Amino acid sequence: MSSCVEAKNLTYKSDGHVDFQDLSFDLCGGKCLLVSGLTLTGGDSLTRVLTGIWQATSGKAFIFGKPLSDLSLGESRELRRNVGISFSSPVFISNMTLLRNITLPLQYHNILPLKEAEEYAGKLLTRLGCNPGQMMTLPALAPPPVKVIASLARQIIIEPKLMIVSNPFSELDRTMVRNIIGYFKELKEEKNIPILLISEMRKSYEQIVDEHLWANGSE
Amino acid sequence: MSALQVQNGLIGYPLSLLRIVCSAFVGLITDFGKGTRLILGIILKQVYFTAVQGLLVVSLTAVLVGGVIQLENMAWLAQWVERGYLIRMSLFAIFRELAPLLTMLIVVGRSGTAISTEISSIKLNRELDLYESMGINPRYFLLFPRIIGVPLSLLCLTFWFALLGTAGGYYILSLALPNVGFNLEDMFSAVNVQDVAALSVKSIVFGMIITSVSCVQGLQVRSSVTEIPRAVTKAFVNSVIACIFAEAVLTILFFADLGAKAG
Repeated sequence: MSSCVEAKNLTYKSDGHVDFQDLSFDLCGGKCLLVSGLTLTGGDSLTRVLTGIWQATSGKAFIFGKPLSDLSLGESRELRRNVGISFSSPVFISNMTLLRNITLPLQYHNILPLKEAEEYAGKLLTRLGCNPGQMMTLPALAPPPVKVIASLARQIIIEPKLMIVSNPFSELDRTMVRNIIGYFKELKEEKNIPILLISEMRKSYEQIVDEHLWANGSE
Repeated sequence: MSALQVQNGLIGYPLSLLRIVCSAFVGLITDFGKGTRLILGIILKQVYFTAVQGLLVVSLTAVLVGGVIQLENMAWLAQWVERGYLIRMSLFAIFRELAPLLTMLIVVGRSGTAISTEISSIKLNRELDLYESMGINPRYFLLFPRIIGVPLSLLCLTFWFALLGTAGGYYILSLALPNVGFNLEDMFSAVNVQDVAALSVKSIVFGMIITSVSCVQGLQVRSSVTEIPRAVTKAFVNSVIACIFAEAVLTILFFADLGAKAG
């Protein structure tokens, strides 16, 4: 089976600080890989490098068999449409409600009109154990767990072919974690979507993780 | 180099401004048809904020400045200069210089500063990465609506200023001097196609300058909220300087032949 995401001796340094070093792995459909041992910044840097938002200092990354370093800006953006990306501290467009943030990719890529997108988002949020009414607030006013759920929902709603998620369970209570793990399992086993989890620690992930990589290059 | 990376310096800064404008239109070409209603909504919001909400300030300034200019002309120059020339002098002062410059100042103060504050916050909040992570082109989603919305608003506001400055000024003048000796039609009949073209081109160029300078200053913010007020101040000052420079160049281009005729 061809790999969906592959890293070969991937290193990223910024301002003399090593975010991660010599990371090598590959992940194919229906599997879940946990990369642990990275700091929050390191995890977010790896997410950005693996999706072509940032360039690696050295090494190579491939998404769906395509080397990211050879892709143009437009090509890598097109590739990211199929990747659900979630950073450790969720970022939102500050002047839109959380619900509008979730439906934004559907509207921008003309997948669904606003009303249908909002209905669809409502169903997904209920499935993730969150009340859609909580999403009518602006991001700055929302409590951290609601933001984490909104960030995950925004990635899942585009029906990605690959999920790259950095520290998804921080700020969440046990029930929410259980709901999300259940959903990730479904994505992995039923929809054959590979999931790359990046986390500081290994806790909570045993139920879904197939492989584990300890990134000891971080400082 | 990415279009959203900006440079300073005598050559680098103008190049960054040009790159911002070009990349907004490149974004339109590459992402044409994506989120059309979303983008139209942002353009309308920008026009509403810049043009509709700014209408009162512009109207008030236009009437007062137009009145003062015409009153001063009539009060001080009428004894030496023929009335026909006075009409033209007032009209040209308002149409050719005051309308584009004063409207530009109002728009820089209201919209330019708002854009630079917004872009700075977006940069600090790492929203640019967010757009990229969702496959959304920030050049199309963020820059294009502003590059279209501000010049469009400025064009409307400048014409409104010119019309109201002339008409409103005339009425103030006729209140102060009942036997003014000419009517409003005489004033507007002095306007020619060249004036209208110059006014339109100046407004559009100023609008693009204001937006690109504000975006460039907003994008220069790196790591701290304390950089935002500095970025906003720089956006204001640089926009005004760049617009006045453009005003001089455009006036020479449009009206150089008049100087030659006079010579």
